Amino acid sequence: MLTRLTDKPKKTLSKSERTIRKEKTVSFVVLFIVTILWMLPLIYMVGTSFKSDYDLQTNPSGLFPSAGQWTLAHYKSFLSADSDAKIFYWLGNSLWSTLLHVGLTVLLDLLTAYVLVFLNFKGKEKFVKLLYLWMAVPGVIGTAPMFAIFAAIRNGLEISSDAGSYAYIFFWIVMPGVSGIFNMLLMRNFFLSIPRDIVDSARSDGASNFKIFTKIIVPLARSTIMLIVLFTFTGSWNSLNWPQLIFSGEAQKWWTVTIGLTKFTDSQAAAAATGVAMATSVFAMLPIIIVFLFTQSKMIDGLASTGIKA
Amino acid sequence: MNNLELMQREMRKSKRRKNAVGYALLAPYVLIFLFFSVIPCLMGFVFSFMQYNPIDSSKNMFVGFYNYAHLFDFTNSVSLKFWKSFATMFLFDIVMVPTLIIIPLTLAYLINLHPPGYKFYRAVIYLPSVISVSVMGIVFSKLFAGDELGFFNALFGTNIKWLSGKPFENDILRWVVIFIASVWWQTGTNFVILSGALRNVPKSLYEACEMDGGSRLQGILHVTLPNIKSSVGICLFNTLIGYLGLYGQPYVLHAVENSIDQEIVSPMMFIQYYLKNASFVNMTGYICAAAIVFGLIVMVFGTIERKVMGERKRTDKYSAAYKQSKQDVEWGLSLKGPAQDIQSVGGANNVNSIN
Repeated sequence: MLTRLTDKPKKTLSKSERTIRKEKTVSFVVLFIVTILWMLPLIYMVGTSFKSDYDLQTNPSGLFPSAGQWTLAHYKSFLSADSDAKIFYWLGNSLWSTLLHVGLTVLLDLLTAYVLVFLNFKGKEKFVKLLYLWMAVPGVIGTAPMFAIFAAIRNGLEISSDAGSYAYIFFWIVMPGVSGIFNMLLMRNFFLSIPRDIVDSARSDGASNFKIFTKIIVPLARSTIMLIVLFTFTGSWNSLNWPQLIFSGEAQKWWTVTIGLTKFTDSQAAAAATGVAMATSVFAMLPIIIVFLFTQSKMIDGLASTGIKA
Repeated sequence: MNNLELMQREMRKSKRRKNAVGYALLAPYVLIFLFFSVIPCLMGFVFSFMQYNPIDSSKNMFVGFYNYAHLFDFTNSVSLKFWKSFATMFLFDIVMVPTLIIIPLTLAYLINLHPPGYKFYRAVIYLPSVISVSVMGIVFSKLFAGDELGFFNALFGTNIKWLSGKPFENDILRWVVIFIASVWWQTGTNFVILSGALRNVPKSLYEACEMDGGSRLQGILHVTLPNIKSSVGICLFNTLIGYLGLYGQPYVLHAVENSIDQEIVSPMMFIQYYLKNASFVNMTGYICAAAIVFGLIVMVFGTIERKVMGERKRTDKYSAAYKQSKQDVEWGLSLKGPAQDIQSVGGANNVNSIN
């Protein structure tokens, strides 16, 4: 009886299986081509960074240097102290400010979402409603006034020392966006899906809020944390508009990587400059690529499964 | 009586304490949110009605709707620049935004067939999304360099001036390059979100559709599309808002003739240009007005997108039937259908329990 029931659909399956196999072949071919196209710019970048000046002139269409023309000269040139590119300063600035920004964002989101979901107090729902409404307000409206506030406070505080200016500028690089609504609501939505019984029973066992938060909630939220880290890390590392305003007229070694590299986006540059630009980009990309290689599988899965619940 | 009163007082006390704890823990977020989001926006609103100079406050005064009138005065060259940049950006978006849904959706569909090595393809297609816009600019400006040193010109022996021309006049080739670069750079995020959505469509729905004699196309129309609609809506919204605020791509792929800071082909570039230059500092009020008008337009588009995606609800009969059968299984009322169906329901159950 049972076997007959399972036999029947098997026959129809084999037919659809054949179409599936055909589709698989098509998808394999298409994706293979797309993948090669997608890798082309990156391969070109890495290859060009190793071309000698002569090869850059004579072999512009080659993805890799021609035989005997491999060189590390461009890497040496931008790593030397008198180079235009203050790449180590830029990487340092980007790294610490991005990590601080990500850390603060995650902490604040965890704390706020916990308060909004597991604590009871007056006005909670109204606050969430307000945040949902505010999410529709484009941030561009606040850019000009924020820049004005930035300048006004700086004048008011009369910051003159280098260290003071540096700290002040990076305060304004790190802090805006820490209270991003989208990420916080993402965390809140995840917390809402945690059965309340877990928290209630822990509470009746005498666990404090702090203990519930650190021992139960945070471990459960790991995948959402990963997702927020991904969003804020790439967002902060790649942010262009706001840092551009803040850094206008500041010393170059205070820049972040993304700002610094815009100096090299010149399609009419001489051959030698092309090599240096490519070498600098490769070097600047390394940290992100390394992080990506180790986390990409988890990252993509997290984005795929949690992103849709936002 | 006395006891009850005491209890009530005690309860009120604990309630007040609960409120206090809640407010205290909420305070950091609220303070940062107020200072970096709410106050700047409110100030922007006020500034837009003022002649405002943040450095020299002696001439600050309220001017009513002067800034707005100025912005809509098309004879003024600065205001004209704003609207021209808006039109350019908008034309580009009409092409760009649908492309950034269609290409990722196609790739997501293909990746979900799980051809050999799909994890590798997935990683490669997603990779450009984590690369910074300036690196993207460096690579693509060299790939499409207008002289014989450009990769594509050298490869095909052509001499096409890709990144050249004047904004609003003859820079169509440059927009082609920006388009290609944007597809390469930003397909990843939507691709990953959409492939997750496709993966989460319960398999049993397709089987149900197939059993009803539905063709493959009908399966896509009646099962796939309704089930991934909310994800498509999210992607569309993010992409639309992102590309209305177009800034980085034209900035790093600027035309040869223009210096990098003179390029104004989108409203964000307009705002950025006049903010960054200290010589325009007494135009802050005007820029705030422009930002508010632009922001309102963005809001209108966002609302339209939400309305369109929210209201066009297709009747999703398989999903409804599936929910019913799932309920039946859960209640143990009936165990109809072949054994494998129950299995797939159980499998999909895990997916749905996250919701």
